[in-house]
Amino acid sequence: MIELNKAISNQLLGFIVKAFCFYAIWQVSYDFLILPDGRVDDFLALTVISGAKYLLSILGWDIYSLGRLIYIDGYRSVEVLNGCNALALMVLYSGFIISFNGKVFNKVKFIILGVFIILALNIVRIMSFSLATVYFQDHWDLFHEFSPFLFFYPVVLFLWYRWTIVGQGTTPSEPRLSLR
Amino acid sequence: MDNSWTRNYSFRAQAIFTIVVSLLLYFTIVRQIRVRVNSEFIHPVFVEKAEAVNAKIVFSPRRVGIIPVGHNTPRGFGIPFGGYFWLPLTLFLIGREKRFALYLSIYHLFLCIAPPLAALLFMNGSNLAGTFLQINEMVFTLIFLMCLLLGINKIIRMLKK
Repeated sequence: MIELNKAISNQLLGFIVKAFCFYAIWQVSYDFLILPDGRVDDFLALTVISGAKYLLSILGWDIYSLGRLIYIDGYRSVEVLNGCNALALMVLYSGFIISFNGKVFNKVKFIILGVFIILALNIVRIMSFSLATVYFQDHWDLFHEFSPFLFFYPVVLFLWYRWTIVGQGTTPSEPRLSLR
Repeated sequence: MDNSWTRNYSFRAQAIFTIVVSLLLYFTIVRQIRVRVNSEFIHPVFVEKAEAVNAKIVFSPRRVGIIPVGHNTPRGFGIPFGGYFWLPLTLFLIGREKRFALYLSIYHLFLCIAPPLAALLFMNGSNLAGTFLQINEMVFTLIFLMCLLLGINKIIRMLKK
């Protein structure tokens, strides 16, 4: 297995600074352009809603949506707010890929792949939130709080780990990882 | 974790022992301290300051959210040294990554100072401070996930040995 820890230890500060700059540029763009415009957030939320609605209806549920609300007939609705559309996680994921070593073409491939995977996972997550209103409404808040650990973080960690290998053009047995 | 007494036990036994002690410490002591610190010290201070500028404070046991005048979604900060600290710290202790454990602790000490100050500025109308709070949230999650990656990676390597 690669000497990930030693390499990151040596290059940690540079990596964090790069990532911080990327997130700073993103956040300023988001606060002053993307958020006031609202189309990106709306697009992601509505895509997730329509995906979850479609899949749940295939599974035989009486599911309805109204704007950013989705609900199963007779149960509470789930609202996909800006914080729930996974945009921040997509940016977080991309920040790691961009800040880490690797060829530009590979970075673009990994970012596109990761963003699509996160979008698909978010559809499954919103589906599970709707089903949670049926099966365990009392524990809905807890389920919501820990949902990233179930749906997102394991996959993001796996993709990042793969990127530390692919980005360097090494195999897991080659100890040549660096963060420059 | 590298004391002589630990050499008498297998790595797996030490790992399980560290996880159990860490979980017990977190759920019996640390979590309660964080809730008390927030509800008895941090939250009242922010409520008092918010009243002066007509801002709203969103209370949750281990987090402070602020909605200044003219905003409709809260921004804020979590109380440091929570689960996002203890889980990676536990992995680092198991993997004997003392340096990373130290870096993580220093980062959480930084979180005790910078985000509350930024939150006060945000409450008083500084949009830049609000942007900083959001950047901090991202870097916070990045550091947490990176620490998990490093911790798990080290433990797997030690198990393979």
